[in-house]
Amino acid sequence: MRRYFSILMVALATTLLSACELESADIGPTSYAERLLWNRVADGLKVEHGYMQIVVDLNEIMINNNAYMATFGRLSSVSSEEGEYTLVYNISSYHKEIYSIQTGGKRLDEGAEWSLYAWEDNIGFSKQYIGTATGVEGQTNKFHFSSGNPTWSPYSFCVAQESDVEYVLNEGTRSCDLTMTNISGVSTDSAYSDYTIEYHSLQPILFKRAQIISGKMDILYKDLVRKSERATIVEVKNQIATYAENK
Amino acid sequence: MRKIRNLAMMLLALFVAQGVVAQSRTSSVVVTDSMTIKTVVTRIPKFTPKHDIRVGVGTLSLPTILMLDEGDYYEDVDRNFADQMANADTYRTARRFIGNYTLTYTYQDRRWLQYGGTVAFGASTRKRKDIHTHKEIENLDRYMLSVMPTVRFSWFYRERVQLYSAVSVALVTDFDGLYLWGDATLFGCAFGRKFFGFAEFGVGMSGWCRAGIGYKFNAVKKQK
Repeated sequence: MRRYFSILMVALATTLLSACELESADIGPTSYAERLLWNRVADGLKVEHGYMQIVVDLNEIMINNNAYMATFGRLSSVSSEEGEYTLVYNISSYHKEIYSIQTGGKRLDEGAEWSLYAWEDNIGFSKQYIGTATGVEGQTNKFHFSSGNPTWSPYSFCVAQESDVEYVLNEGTRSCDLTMTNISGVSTDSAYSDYTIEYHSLQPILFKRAQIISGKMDILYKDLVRKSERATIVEVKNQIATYAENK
Repeated sequence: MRKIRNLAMMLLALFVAQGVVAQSRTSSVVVTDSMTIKTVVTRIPKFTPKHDIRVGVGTLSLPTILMLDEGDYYEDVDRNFADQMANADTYRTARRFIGNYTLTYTYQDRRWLQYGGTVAFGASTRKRKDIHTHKEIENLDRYMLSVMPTVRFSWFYRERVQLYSAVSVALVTDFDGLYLWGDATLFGCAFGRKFFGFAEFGVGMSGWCRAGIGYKFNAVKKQK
């Protein structure tokens, strides 16, 4: 009996030794889904903001006779031919970005419709459509910007967005404060993606020095494979985002 | 490579030789007192072949860790946005190893040699749960099943105690793929006659340390 008891004890000890922890539990982050969604939408907004800045640059050149370029020095060169402007940005010593804007010979404050293109050189130089800026008559610092599923994107996702844009040049801080209102957009990976993120602004999104300072956004995520949805409202104040579930 | 092969052959030869010694053992007992010396020679009775059935539990080992512990790196690499969203606001419980269980049958037709097969089953548990409701969302348990032809060499054999080593070739599945592995009992000891307990130290699919109980019985009626 003693023998079997000792055998049982050995087996029990072995089992206890065996029941060890291979990996510890996750510390579950809260609001992780909301942060994922907002980061994606914010990245898309920053991409759109970059395109809008190019429109702003040309608008300032046309209205204020290169004053904007002289003040901020972001552009390296501007040339025009039959109403089509080419803007070259020296991003670094070995990398430059070239954009082309077809103005039709009209300024934005004359109600013009400008088409923005990027010169893309990965597969040889070709012109890729990015979006359209539509001016408001009599308004020098306002336009409507529409981007539609750009085939060219330096990012791993694409955005189609409509918004009204207003900007103020701040020479003191050498920056451009840009406000997007009435934003309506869709962000996804590609045309064959298994999800979409639809977003609408509830309050204007304010950019300063290319950073989102404030705003409020309604975001709806749709998983097309799992047939699930998730909605959230993001409010940004002083660059800090807070999340609320939108039921 | 040749050196390793030679070493393996030498070890195998040593096992067999020791087994043969165990098989042909005779016992000499010298009884003395102050006046007389008397030598008693006993012969070991003829060995009766036996069936040997064992159930055991083993600890982790290198292959079982590889099978049962996927690691965070493999789980999270290259997840797309939709997968990240599906797993957002969830957490995973700790992954626990709940043992490596073996069932072995061998036939012993000589004192030094047993052959048969082993089936080993190992598992580790982990769940993905909702961070708010703590309800289980996904079962992340991992299982492993191996089937192993086994040869066991007894290098010390008594009715009540055996010391042995064993080797097995393992065909392993984690229910995702099929792999070829192995198992070796470097040192094992069994105590008891019909019902017995055993403890082993080894490498391979059964774990580094194994222990369990077994039952052995004669394959044929004992000859008188």
